[in-house]
Amino acid sequence: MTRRRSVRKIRRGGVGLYSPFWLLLPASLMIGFILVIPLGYTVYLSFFKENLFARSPIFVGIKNYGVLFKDKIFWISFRQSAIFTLGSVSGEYLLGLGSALLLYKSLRGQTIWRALILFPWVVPIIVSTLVWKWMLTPRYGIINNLIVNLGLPSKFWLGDPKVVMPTVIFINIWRSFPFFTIVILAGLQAISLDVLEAASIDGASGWKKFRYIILPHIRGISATVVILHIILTFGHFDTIWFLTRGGPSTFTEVLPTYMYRQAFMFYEVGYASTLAVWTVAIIATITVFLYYTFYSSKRSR
Amino acid sequence: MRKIYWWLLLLLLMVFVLFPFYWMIVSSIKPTPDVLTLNPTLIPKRVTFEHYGFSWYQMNLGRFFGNSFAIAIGTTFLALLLTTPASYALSRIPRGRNLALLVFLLSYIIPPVALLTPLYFVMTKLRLVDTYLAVVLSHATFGIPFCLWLQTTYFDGIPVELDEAACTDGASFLQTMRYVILPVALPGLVVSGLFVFILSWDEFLFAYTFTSSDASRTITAGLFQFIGANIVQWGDLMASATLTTVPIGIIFFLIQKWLIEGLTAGAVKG
Repeated sequence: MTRRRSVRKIRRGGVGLYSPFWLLLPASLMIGFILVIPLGYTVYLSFFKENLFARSPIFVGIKNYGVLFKDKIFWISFRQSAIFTLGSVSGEYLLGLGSALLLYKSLRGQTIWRALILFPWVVPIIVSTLVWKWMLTPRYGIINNLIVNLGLPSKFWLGDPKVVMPTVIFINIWRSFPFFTIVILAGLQAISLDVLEAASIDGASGWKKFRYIILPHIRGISATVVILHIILTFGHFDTIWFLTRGGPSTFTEVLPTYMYRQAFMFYEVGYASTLAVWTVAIIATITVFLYYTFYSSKRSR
Repeated sequence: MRKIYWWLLLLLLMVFVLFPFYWMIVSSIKPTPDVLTLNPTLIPKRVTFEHYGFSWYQMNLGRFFGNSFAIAIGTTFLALLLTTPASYALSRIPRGRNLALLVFLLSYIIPPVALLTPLYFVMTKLRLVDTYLAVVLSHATFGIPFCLWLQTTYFDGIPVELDEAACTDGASFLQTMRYVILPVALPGLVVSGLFVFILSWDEFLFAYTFTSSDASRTITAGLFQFIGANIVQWGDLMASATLTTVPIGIIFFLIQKWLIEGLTAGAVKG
């Protein structure tokens, strides 16, 4: 109510030019220019057979979409995108929840630990992947060195089809779980201590407190951060590209890397756009589905 | 007694999180024979800075550093210039605040790689390829939504009564902004600006695609070249990686308290 009144006042003060509309316009125009128009252009391009080296693009209608359905690598990438996303986000959530509970417990120095944990998340991905690549190097890498000293066989972590996907997921978890930690920790800190104390007095065990007080309290932020990361991970390109470039063969190819390969290595711009449209459509569907599932179940409670 | 277990777990967690950075720094100051060895030591036996000299001069890291600085500063100012009025407006409008924020945040469902081709065409048409401006403009795709999200929360924390008081005292809109709102909002703006600086510094895909020569190549794109070249001079690479991390490490630890509060405020409420 006060908010509404003040806006009217500002307008009445003879500064109508500075209505919210004008204040929002520059940012909106910019977003339109670098986001909405390119996105529309992607949809447009997806109806063409266009190679960057060919003279002129040929309109092919929805033919690219038909090609896509018969494209084996598209399905492989799709499946691996799903595996990469589910593996990463579930690992990030578990590790994030665990570490948040740990920080919540050990109260001293909480802010310092919190900041140190978040560090991998702010470091350029090229730096962290480079370090992991070095640690995982077959001969001189510290990890194989450690394994061999323990009497176990060394592994070709980023070259062996059997272990490459788990390795990539592991590194991605290492990089992203800190964000879960700080958000869940903030959620934990919002729980009133009185409630937990009352439960203790009533004789609730640690597990019961966790199950019936802590978990319900952090349900909302958990959903927010999980949905956000499913979206971000499904479209994530850098980590996989730096570590394996989708290889060996196609064992870590995901939709973003496949899209990039089509556009910037095969120069098949039309087909790459089709892939882009599909990927955005898949992410949008997942988002709407998750959002709806979460909020409708919340209402029914 | 049980406390000890918690501390042990915490120690384990910290080793897991930070060991790669420790190893990065240690490998960057060991002479090459001590780096490429089957018996690496956790603590360097001999210390050298030759890798740093090599990466700064031979690998042209100095040049990439300058480019990254220019681009990150440009991105920061562009984002702040556009989003400060917008987020102020969003925090003050009577209706549609959350809807508008949601619309801007929807941009996150578009993976950057999906925007790459069309943006490349746009940049080519505008003859911007291989300029700072191309990278700065593309970085606004994530800088603007992020700043809006963070700053709207900051502006929410400034009571409307402040606007009203200035208004009744006869201040014009611009005067209200200049003398009342912006001074109060400044810390929040600085934090979000510095974080956009980090995001821009870290970004790879746009920076790599829209630059084609050392004249505008950023540090992340520069580092990527060395992976591609199959260099196994891990000492030099680790020195470059360390140098790349230093500026954002400093910024991050300066702003971490306010940054984490800002990041989590939105999530906890939402």
